[in-house]
Amino acid sequence: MRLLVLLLVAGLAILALRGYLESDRRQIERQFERLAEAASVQGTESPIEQIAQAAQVVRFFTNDVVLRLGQDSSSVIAGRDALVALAAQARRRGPLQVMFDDVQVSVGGPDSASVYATVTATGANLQSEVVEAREISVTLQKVDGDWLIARVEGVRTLERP
Amino acid sequence: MLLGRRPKLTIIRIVVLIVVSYVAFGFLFLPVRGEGISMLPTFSDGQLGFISTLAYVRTPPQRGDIVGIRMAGRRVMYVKRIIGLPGERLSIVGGVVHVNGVPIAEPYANGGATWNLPEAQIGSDEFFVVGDNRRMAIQNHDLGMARRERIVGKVLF
Repeated sequence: MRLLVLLLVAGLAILALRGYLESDRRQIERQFERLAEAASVQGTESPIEQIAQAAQVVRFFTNDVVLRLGQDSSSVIAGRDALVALAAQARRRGPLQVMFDDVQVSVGGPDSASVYATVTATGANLQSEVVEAREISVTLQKVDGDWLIARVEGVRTLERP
Repeated sequence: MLLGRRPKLTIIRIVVLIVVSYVAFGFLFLPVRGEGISMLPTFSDGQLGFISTLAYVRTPPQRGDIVGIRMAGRRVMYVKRIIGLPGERLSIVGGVVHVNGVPIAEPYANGGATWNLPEAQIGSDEFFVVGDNRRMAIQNHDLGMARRERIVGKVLF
C-alpha cells in the first residue's frame, strides 16, 4: 500500500514537472534565454559572421515586429529587415553580453502573451565596461507553434523632465 | 566526525543559519554590486553594498538618501540619490540644484558645473533621483522622477 502511494505521488510529480516544462510560460522563458544567447557576441566576428548571427537573432521575431525603445519616432524599428541591419551593426562593436532579468510572463490566450522584463547589455567602451539596462514590455504571438516577439516597448523607470 | 559530538544539534544550527541567511539576504538586506560610473565617487563600479528594505517602513525616504530603484524586478536596480521630495519643484542651474527656487548644498556631488535642467514639478508620489557623478554629460546620465513604489530601500555600505 505504502509503495503504491509512493508511486502515485512520484507519477503525479513527473506529470506536474512535464506540464511545467511544456507549458507556454516555460516555453517563453526558454525563448528569452535563447534570444539572450543569440544576441550576445563572444568575440570579434567577420562581416559574414555578423550577418549570419544577426539572422539568427531575428528568427525570434515576427515579420512585422515593431520595436519602440524611446519616445520619439526615430527610435522605432519596424520589420525583420530593419532588425537584421540593427543587429549586424550592434555586433560590429565587439563583445557584448545580453541578459533578460526578472522575466514576468503572462499568457493571455492560446496565441498571445506578454512579457515584462529588464534587459541588460554589457559591453566595452575603450577601457571601461559599459552597462545599459532598460525595462521592456513585450508582446508575443504564437506562430506555427513558436512564440515570436511581435512588439517591444521601452518602459521608463525614471521620468525625465 | 564532521557533524561533531551532537550531530542533531549541528544540523539544526545549519538549518537555522540557512533560513536566517535566506531571509536576511533575500528580503531584508538585498546585496547589490555597483555597475557604471554614475554614482562616483560615493558608490564605485564593482563596489558591494546592501539595500535595507525596512528603512522606509516607518519613515518616508529623505533628501540625501541613496536608494535602490527597481526596474522590472529586484535583480537589476538603479542606485541613485534622492534630491527632490514629493510636491517640490526642482531645477538645476549651472550645476546647482534648486528646490522650490532655493539652492541646496550637495557636498557629495562630484562636479556638474555644466548641468542645467528646467524646473520640474515632482508628483505627490514621486521622488527626484540623480547620481553623484555630475562630471559626466547630463544626456548620458539617468536621472528623473521615480514613483515611491519603485523605491526598494535605502542603500547601506
